[in-house]
Amino acid sequence: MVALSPLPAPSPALGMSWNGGDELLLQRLLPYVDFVETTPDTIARKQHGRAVIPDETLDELRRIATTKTLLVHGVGLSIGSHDGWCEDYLSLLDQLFATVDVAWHSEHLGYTRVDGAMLGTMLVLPRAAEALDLLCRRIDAIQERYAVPFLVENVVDLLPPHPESRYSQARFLNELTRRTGCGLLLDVYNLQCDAQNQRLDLDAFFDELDFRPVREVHIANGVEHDGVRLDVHSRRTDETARHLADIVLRRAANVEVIVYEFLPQAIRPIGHDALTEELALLHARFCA
Amino acid sequence: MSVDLAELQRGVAALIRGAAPPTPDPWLEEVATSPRLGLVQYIITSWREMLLRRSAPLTTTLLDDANRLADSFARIATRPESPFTEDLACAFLADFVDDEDPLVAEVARFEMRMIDAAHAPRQSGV
Repeated sequence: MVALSPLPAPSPALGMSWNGGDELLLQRLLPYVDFVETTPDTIARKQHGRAVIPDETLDELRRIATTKTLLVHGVGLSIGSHDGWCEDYLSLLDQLFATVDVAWHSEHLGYTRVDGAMLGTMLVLPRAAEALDLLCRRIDAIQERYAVPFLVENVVDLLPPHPESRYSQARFLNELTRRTGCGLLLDVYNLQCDAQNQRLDLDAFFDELDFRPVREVHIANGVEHDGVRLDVHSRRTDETARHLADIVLRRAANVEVIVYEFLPQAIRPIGHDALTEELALLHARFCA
Repeated sequence: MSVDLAELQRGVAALIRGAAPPTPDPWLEEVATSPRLGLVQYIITSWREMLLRRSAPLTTTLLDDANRLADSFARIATRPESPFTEDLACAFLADFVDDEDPLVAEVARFEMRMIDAAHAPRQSGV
């Protein structure tokens, strides 16, 4: 287990993912958070053959934004696809940014499409020069298109390591943020997954990472399958993830928010009471 | 890299579909024999199943009761993915609208209509 540094911890705000659902649950959870993060792909619906965010969903986000800071976190941009990103996702961003105030937006450093066909999952790129150049060009283009700050997030790597991944994970993130000026969303549960599944050396990762661009932290929990930890956001956090968040928050002075991620499909299995307790626990631990 | 990013991604996509990569590559060969490829396929299938159970709860329950659900999921696993859950659900339900079991057929038609109605644009009526 990685040791804590002696630096004083900054106090971030608490946030939660929210992609629609029970209004009563929303009203129970909102008092614990200052930030609400929504995923355009998840809240979009098909109308006339294209993805749009329904008016009633936009109304709900507008209501939330009157008292909370709204963040946007995508899964469908596919920023790492060799043949270009997903224009439909950008249309959703256009729609959101035109109607609600968003503090910043973020996306995973992976790809979900190849030659226009969806994979049904998200995969990481080899940490090599070609991928780095492609990602930097795309990040530059997004930052040019939207005035809202843009953050990139580390993704769980499941496939065998690519032999030409010349950059360590931390150095790859450092290069991306240094060359583009984008922010970093550090997902500590994804790091927990990589440590278990890919033997990522977390001490070395934290020693090498430039923490200055880290503006947001994600925390979550999932399940194991055949000894492999999966990134499914279906459970309450465990002490391992909370300890990793402690480490990050002690080193990353510019973190504004730690967001607890849970899938809409996980609300029923976790339960309303447990979700409320989880936010109270995280608030007491990180934001007091 | 031994293959460029485009060929690497095409190769991984082919492997996920159970096909051979269009361009040979040592790393893609390693992926093809790795248990992690099966895990990625399992994740994709599980996610689709979860979405279908949520989008078509009545039809999936009836099929489950008749021990037909696993085969039904397997049939849809090889089809192209859509970004829209409703497309996935309708493609799944379309297999059952003429089912030999009249209850399954009726329920599948009902759930397809429910999905169509739920995702039709709202009319601003006068």
